[in-house]
Amino acid sequence: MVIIEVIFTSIFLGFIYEGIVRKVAARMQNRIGPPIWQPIIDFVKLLSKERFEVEGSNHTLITFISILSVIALLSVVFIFPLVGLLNFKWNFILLIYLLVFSTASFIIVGFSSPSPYTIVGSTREAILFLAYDLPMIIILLYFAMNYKSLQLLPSNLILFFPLMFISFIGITQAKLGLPPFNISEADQEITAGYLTECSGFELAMFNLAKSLRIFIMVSLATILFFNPTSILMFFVYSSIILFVVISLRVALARFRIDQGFRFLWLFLLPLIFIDIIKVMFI
Amino acid sequence: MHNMMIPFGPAHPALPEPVHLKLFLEGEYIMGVDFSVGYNHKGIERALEDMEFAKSIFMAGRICGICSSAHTTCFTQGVEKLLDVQIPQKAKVIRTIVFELERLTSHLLWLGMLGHEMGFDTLFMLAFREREYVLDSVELITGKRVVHDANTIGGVRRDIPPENIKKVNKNLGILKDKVEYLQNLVKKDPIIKKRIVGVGNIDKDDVEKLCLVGPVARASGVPYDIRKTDKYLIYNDLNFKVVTQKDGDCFARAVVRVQEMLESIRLARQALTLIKPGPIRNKPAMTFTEKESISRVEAPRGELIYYIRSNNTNRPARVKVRTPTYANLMCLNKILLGNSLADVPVLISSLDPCLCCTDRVTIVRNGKEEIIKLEDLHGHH
Repeated sequence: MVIIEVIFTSIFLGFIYEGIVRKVAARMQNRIGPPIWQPIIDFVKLLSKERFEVEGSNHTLITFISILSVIALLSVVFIFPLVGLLNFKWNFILLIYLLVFSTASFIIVGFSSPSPYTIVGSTREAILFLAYDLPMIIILLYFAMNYKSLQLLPSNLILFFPLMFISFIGITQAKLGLPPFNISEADQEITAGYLTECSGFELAMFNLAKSLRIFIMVSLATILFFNPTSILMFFVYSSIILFVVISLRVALARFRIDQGFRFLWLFLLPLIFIDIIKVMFI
Repeated sequence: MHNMMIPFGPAHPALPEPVHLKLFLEGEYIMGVDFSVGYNHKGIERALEDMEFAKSIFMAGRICGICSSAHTTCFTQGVEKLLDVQIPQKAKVIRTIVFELERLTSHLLWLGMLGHEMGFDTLFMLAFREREYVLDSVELITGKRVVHDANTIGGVRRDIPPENIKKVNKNLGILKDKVEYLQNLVKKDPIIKKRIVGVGNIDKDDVEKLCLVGPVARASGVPYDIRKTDKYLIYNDLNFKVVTQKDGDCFARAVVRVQEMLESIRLARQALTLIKPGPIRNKPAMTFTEKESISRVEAPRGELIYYIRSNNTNRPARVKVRTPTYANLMCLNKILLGNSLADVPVLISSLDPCLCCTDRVTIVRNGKEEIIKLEDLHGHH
């Protein structure tokens, strides 16, 4: 029964986090914005909508991947130390695998429709994926090396690795597909990117996956860098990180794909190495 | 061999205008462009010929929702030439004020759209928030916010109430600070600069070869401004400079438009001080003879030309409109080729196109384009 509680709580928190992102961003942009529970309403409504089958697209694959992507992200929640249901010795490897899969599912969906918008969107996501996943995996593995354990443990390493934290925030932004890295979903160029041909149930599932991604990436940053000892502190630190993420979303324009790639590899990746080298010599 | 064809429009989230582009891509880069308009031909030129002159002003004002006053000013100027009427000084001043405020609304809307196209929605929201000050000012002067039918043949339709002059002046004072803030944002924000500096260059020779007009020409260093060359309305008495830039890229076009906004605020405030009590309209006798006239104004997007021919009736025999976008679209192919797909929305919006005003009719019979006479075309409808 704990499993069901955790699933529903994380889905609820995912929607609420997305609602907060939308509402606070709207207030920052001098708009009223939707109510915080709007993503839940959208989700329920999308479930009741018709599904359009695009000619030439692999519909079974899309449905399968959409469900699998939600399951993968929900499994990440079980790894978190505060939940501790998948609290085994090598869960770090599982964490990396699941996070990679959640992005890969989006890429697969784009390539399984013949539409040029989805193909360009998926190509961009695949290129960007190389740019942000490598720094993220380096950060995660460095933590594992630091603790000499492949288990996800809470740690307050922001004091020792402030630059790594900055880098992780940038990677979070890219992973969540928020500006300045919303290149693969740039609606001005390629409408909705890889999700252009999705509708009804699949779109609802992918929207849910996107909401869960916000919750998971923010929580992961909290666990890795702030060491939350209680649920209350967890939410306090999470809201600080969420606020930073929203501020970046509002304050920045979108990169072109080459600029985004260059920024991630030539600016955020060196920041990680500076921190690692600094610690090695102290 | 092209890898992929991306359709862009006629219904597209980036461009709320009926234009269809076929972009042939190789990877992310554009190797070929196929361009077609004609989805929203309104037949306004024909409609203008069916109306009396007094009524057709309102039709001219509805050719474009954003530069409505430019169209009515140009049309009335042409008709006044046909009738040989001089309009009173106060009417000229009011027309100038509305005209400059309209340039402000148009450029602010454009700046917002530029922000939206490059994925910077905050700039869009800011620009539209500041635009309210201008719309409120226009409402104080003409009574309407968007399509303001301020002009009529021989003058203007409404006097400015004296208490509103102060309010408009105050609004413009606030707006000046806001526009200066936006100017800083465009000039200094690193990501905005990354997206628009050095993209879509048009050099001076190309501007002269392709006959580009308005801010697009001025951004390439061609100081072509009808306000200076024709000195219509009261622009001769006002002190302003034609904003030019050298580079001719998207950034130069953005800077020209933002600085033009500051110039417009100055012009409108100067014109407000020139309001003196007096009549606002010389009502002419509406008797027309066989004559023709050409009138041009500097609309927010560039040079707008009206050709009007009258016969002995009270309806125009022919009205021909050449909107600035029609001239500027000529360089679309040149600026798009070789750039990446991500730059397309920014590049198109940097020309500030208004395609509804530009739409033309193509007659297609048996799959072939045909050129037919005007009388035959009118027989078709």
